[in-house]
Amino acid sequence: MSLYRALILSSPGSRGEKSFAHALKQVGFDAEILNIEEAIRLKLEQDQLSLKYKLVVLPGGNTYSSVVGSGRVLALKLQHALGWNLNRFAERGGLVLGVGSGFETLLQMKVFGEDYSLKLNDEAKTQEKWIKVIPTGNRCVWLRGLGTLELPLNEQNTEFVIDPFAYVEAKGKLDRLGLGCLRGETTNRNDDRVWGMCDMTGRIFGLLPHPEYFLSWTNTEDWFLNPTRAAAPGAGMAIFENAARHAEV
Amino acid sequence: MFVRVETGFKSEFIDPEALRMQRKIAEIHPQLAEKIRWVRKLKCYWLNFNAPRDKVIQTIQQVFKIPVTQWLFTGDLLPSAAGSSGTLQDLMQEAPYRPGVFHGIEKRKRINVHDEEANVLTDIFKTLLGTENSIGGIITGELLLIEGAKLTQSDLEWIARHWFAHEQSESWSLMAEDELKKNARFQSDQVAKYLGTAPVEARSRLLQFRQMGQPSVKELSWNRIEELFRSTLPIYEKHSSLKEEEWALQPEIRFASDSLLSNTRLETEFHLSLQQLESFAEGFPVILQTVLGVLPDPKRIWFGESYGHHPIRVRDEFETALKAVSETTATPIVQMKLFEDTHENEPSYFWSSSLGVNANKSEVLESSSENIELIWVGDQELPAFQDLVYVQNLKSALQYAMDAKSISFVLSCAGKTLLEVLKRATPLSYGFNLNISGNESWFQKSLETPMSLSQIWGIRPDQKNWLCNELTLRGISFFHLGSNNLSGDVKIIQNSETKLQLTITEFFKTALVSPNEVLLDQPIYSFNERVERRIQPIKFKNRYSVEELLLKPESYHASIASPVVLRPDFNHWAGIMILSDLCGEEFSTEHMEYLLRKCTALGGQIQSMQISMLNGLKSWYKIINEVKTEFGIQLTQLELLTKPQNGAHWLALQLVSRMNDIRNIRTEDFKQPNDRIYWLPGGFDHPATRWLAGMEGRYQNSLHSAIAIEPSNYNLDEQGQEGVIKTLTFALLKRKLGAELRLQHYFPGGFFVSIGENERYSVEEEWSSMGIECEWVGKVTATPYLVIRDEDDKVHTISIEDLV
Repeated sequence: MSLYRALILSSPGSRGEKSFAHALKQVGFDAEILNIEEAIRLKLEQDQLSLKYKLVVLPGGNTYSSVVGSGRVLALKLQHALGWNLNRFAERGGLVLGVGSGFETLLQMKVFGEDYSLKLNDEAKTQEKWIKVIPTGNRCVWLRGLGTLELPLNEQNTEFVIDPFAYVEAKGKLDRLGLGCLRGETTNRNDDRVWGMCDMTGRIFGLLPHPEYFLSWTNTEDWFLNPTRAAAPGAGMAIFENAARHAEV
Repeated sequence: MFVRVETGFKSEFIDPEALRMQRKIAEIHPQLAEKIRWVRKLKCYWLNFNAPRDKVIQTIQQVFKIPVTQWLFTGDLLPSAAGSSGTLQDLMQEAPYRPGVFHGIEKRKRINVHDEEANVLTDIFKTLLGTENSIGGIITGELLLIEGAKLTQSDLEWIARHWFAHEQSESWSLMAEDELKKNARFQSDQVAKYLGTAPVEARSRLLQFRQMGQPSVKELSWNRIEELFRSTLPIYEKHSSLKEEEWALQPEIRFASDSLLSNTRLETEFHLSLQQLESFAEGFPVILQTVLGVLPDPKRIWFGESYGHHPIRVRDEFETALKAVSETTATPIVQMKLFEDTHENEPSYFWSSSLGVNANKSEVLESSSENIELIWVGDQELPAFQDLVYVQNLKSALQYAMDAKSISFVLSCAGKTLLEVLKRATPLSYGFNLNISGNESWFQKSLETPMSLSQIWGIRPDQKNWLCNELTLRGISFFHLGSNNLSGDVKIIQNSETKLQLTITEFFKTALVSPNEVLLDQPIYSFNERVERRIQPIKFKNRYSVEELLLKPESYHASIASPVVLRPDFNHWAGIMILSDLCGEEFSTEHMEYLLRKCTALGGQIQSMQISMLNGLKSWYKIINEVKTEFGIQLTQLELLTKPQNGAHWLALQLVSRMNDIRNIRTEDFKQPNDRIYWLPGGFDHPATRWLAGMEGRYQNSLHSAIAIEPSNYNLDEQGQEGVIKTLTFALLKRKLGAELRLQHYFPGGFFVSIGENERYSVEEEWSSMGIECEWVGKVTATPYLVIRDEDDKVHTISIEDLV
């Protein structure tokens, strides 16, 4: 397998970069962690990005202390300081993954359109639990061929919101075009049960649960009940394997 | 451009954070929770932009507008970003009980408290607007919108204190329904007031106080000028071929309390400590509290105070603290003072304080050559220099010129007279011309009066034009003062006519004075970089380190201390005066005015004010708001509720002002021989007291000294003369002067004042016009003897030292 370069873009407050790097290295990427300020200093603009990297990961966490809105400041920096247009990057064959706060950054950059957003859950607390999510449709290359996944969730803004003024049209896009590619079993007051979205190319994927925290079976809470599976990969690895499979396309 | 932005969830979405707070209140205070029927939380931002309006609007949209979930309230800036009306009424309409009774609690980060959110926003605005200086300041906060008909003010205060605001780092205020519905809070003057820059209109009242008592400019007296130019000036300061870092009081000074034991810093604002206030309220328990401040800036200014009832403990604790600060911040300690505050029927209260600045970062500039043009940069009106933006502009202009290598030398003028500046200027030591045409009044005034923050720049002739253009563009006033040369002469030219010519030997006839002879005392600590980077104690000989102003206010019970003046830099005579006052329910705008007048009458230029409350009275909020808007002072408010409401109500005020030259301030000490001594009657609301306190009149600054005489209950047999002699002796002692006095009758409480011979006529005239009956008592003499003529015309001559 040829060695593609993957960029994991860390920012103040982001988490899980090393897990991403580990997962991507496992599936054959040459993963590099780069801070946003360093990227600005290096002038890693749109053209450079397409030339250098095949895959971009926006990790989750609490980027920029969620000032103004979660992921908002990072989105502004990517758009205005670096001039990134991730849709164009995907059209040129790039892959983009945004997890948790990274998903919110993608939403704030309006990668999936202007009518979707995430909102603080009713408890106003960080939810830490495992959820079952089901890939739907065939658009998202990251989820192709996968069945039900159980992934850890560690988020405050878990409520997926569609703009009430454009509800019918936006909901139609989600369902008919298959943009809402990851649905949950549990609703959590999330009427559309959307836990992940992709763009029209299927190469930009944002999701709320964290696949990078389930790379091995030992990441589960009760792995010791079935110690023979200790060496088995976790469900999250499947998503990264898909990325490696579709990187060449 | 000042902008206020509020963001909140749209009315169709619930507000989880507000609901969570409501749930928590229900657990702790169920009765109160029942009164809250609906609640919403909004984020607030106070922003100061240095960018065009259209650009600002565009940027605000980019940053704050999240149209799917949020509404954006900006007053009239972006009316379409909210609901139908563009005001909070859009949100209020969603409340279940309508029309409803709405209340608002607003909190905001205190100025200069670390605000991560503001830092992130500043960063992103700089990115979007593209320039470094595009954003002048940001404060973040929140607004809690509550609906409940039965909610009282005390309920709201409870919510604010216990659930909403963190009082050490945030200030809060209550807002009425009318205020919430209108957009007045978005107006730029309302926003500016929180950002620490008083709007221009609000400054006018303050300017009046600052300008009060400034001496009027007279005709040029060439004899006097020649006399001054030929005089030998005591100079002990280093010459100024170095670029000096000017000391400037930061209006937005940030102080930090330093926990010495754990060596960790907790940033907070400078305030009277909680324990200190408690001591007033609870009958003086023994308390020792140290507050130390460190400015997180290369030019650190720190301030420390220690209070308590045991002088040695206060002193020891404070010295340890000073050393710790000096070692950790490499800051030399300049002044320290220990004084005692005695109250009737109460134990003595010791108080020590200190102020330090960094060692001057000196940079040797290129050696000067001839024909360097002298440009005086600054503003002839003092108040302009209280404007931090102006000072920053000036500094950036200087940096610009330095980078372009256009400036050969810079002479700092702050706190010094023009004569002092010229006489110790090495670049002028081979001769110079001064052209004073058009600036005669400035020349006359600044020759003997210390100047405000201003500088004389030495500019190369070929660089002069562009630099002058640059200064004009930046709105900095300046004028051409002359040039240096190698002629060996000092010339003053007026209207192309040489009015005065001296040789440089005659002009630079300076005498180095050893520091021991300086009237003001040495710092008790010195900083010797060669030996080691720590402070060394100096033994001081029964002398105070700073001059103390002592003018007893008429409301004695309200005073917690005399005004204290601290000189932060030994090379300059400028200082800070801290005027403290403690008052009860009588606080009013008149009281505030009185305090300001007193400060101005003592020669201070008001900078900022700190208000601390204990068991705050509701009426104070209104008055403090009036004070904030009307007087335009940088006012820091710290509200404290430490005990149940049956405690005493106190309001502690600390007025910080700048003194250009502490040598000219009025103190208890007699200043010079041949000063005339008068007795003025005292008493509450007496015209003389009002005049001394600066309530009326304008010649208070002419006084050389003022001594308050307390009416004595015990010495009636001696007609009070013993007390008078004792007080006058101490006033003469410091400068080893004597006096000739006529003490022919009983002196009840009042004031002894001294005036120079030249000023007597104007002052006496003012007294007579105000109906103040003054009595001439005698004069100050050069020999240290007290010559007293009694009722029987007998003359008693006593040595001052014998009396002591």
